[in-house]
Amino acid sequence: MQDYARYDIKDFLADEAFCSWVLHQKPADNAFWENWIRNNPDRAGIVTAAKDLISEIHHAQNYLSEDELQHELQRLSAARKSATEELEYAESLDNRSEQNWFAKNWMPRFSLTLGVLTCFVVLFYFYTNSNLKTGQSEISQKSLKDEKNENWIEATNNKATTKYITLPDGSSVRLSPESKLSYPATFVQHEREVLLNGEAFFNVTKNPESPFKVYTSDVVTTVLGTSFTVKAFDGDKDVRVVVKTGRVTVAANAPQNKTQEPEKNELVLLPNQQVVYHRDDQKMKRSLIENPVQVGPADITSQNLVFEDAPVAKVFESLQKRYEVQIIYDADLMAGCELTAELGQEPLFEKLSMICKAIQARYEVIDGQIVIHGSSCR
Amino acid sequence: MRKPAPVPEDEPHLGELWNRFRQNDEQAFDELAKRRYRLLFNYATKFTKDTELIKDCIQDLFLELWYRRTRLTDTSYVTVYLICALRNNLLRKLKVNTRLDDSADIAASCEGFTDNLTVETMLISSESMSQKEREIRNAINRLPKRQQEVIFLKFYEGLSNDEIAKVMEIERQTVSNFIYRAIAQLKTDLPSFSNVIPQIILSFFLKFLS
Repeated sequence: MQDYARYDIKDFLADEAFCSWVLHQKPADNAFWENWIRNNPDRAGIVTAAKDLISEIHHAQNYLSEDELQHELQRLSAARKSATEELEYAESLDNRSEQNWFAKNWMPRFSLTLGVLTCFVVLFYFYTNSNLKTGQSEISQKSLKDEKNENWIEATNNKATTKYITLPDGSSVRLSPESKLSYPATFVQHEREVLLNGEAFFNVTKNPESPFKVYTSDVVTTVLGTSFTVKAFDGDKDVRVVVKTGRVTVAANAPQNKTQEPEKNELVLLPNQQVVYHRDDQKMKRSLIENPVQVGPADITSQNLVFEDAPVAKVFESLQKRYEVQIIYDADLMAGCELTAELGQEPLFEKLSMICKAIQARYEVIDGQIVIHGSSCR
Repeated sequence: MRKPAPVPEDEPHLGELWNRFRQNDEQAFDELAKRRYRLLFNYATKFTKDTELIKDCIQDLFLELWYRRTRLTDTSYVTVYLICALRNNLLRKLKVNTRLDDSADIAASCEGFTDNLTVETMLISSESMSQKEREIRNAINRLPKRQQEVIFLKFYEGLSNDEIAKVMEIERQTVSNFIYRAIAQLKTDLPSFSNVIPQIILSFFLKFLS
């Protein structure tokens, strides 16, 4: 393990692993660095600065405009096409002379060859057909059902009101109008899989040995036990997963489609975070929901938070606990900041604005986390 | 210690495109070009600022690959393969051009562009750049040629020191020396760079004094 805590900005820039994370954003690296920043909040400023600088150095070295790029790609594609045609013409000439030779020497065996060829064509047809099927997400959902070889229950909600469903493992589902949920009559051990088309809120019974998976046409949401909403209507441009409690993993559901970028295909979500999967560009983006809610029993969340000359670290800590969001700030720098306030039921972002105003700081939401840019208040 | 993964995220996908295009898949070929064109173009600007020459060079490179597709071998790292191939082609072409043109020598064709930034390419996409990015670009362009190349491979493409050493045919230690020297130089040249830490300390002291 590198001692990143002693790194200054130059060391971060020179570090291969750090550089690779900034430029390639691999999920595994994301997890490592998010965790590291969480554990070293006082270094967050340097990490952010190094990260920004690398991105800027990256952009500063771009000399090609989008128009030029498209133009060149078209030129290349056209040149490639004419190269292929020339080649095919040359090959067809070759073939013609071959055919003459063929007619003279091999006519008697032609019928046999034809028979063998037909066999191949038929085999090839079946082969490609079976391949095609797995390439389509809808059909692959069905095959997921078929494979299980058991009774599946299909719950469709055509009414205008929410439909309540209890799954065989005790988990509850609130199915929104015009939505459909398919689930097995009994869950096989170690496997809790359901298919969703539309919107539903899941409250999943905890079972660490058997992950609960919600399949939609584009993303798979995996949890051990928690509550969250999945919204995936067929006609919509994006798919949304919003977490209420616990921890949820969202992955792109397209391993069979080889032309897709495998990058950023898995994200971990915490409460009050959501992921939006854009169907157009097949990208996932993590953010905070518009109005984060307090997590926990109502008798605790209904109490106001009262601070009297409290260090801001304590204030942020209470907010982190109440909303289960990540707040990143420079604890050393802001050690002198104190706050006297009473925080009630106003929205989280309003609370943050108030606090930031009092300590002359500002906040920013980056990748589903709150980053405080402040100064020492002495 | 965490070892940096040697292969970037979309590299397996490129490898797959590479294999498909070797088997005559035209779409895979176009897709591969689309994904790597910008990288190759920007890399080439480290050798010459003649954008037409660069465009021709990359076009030739890809067409050459298309002609030889059935004879190409499997490669585990397509990006590095393409970078190496382009580098060789460029250096060869620049040498030939120099020989044809008596008045110029290779040093001029390679390095004569750093101070006169009037060339059109320097303006391209600069509208979409921030002031800071423009400063960075100018600072990079003032670095020695080889350091510029190292900085590009490291901060544009995120290549590891080993891969950079392989591409530039130099020792790994030389690469890391180049990186440290270039970063130190950028730090002196860029006000925004060196400000990052002192800014925090400074504001602390100012607050403290007031």
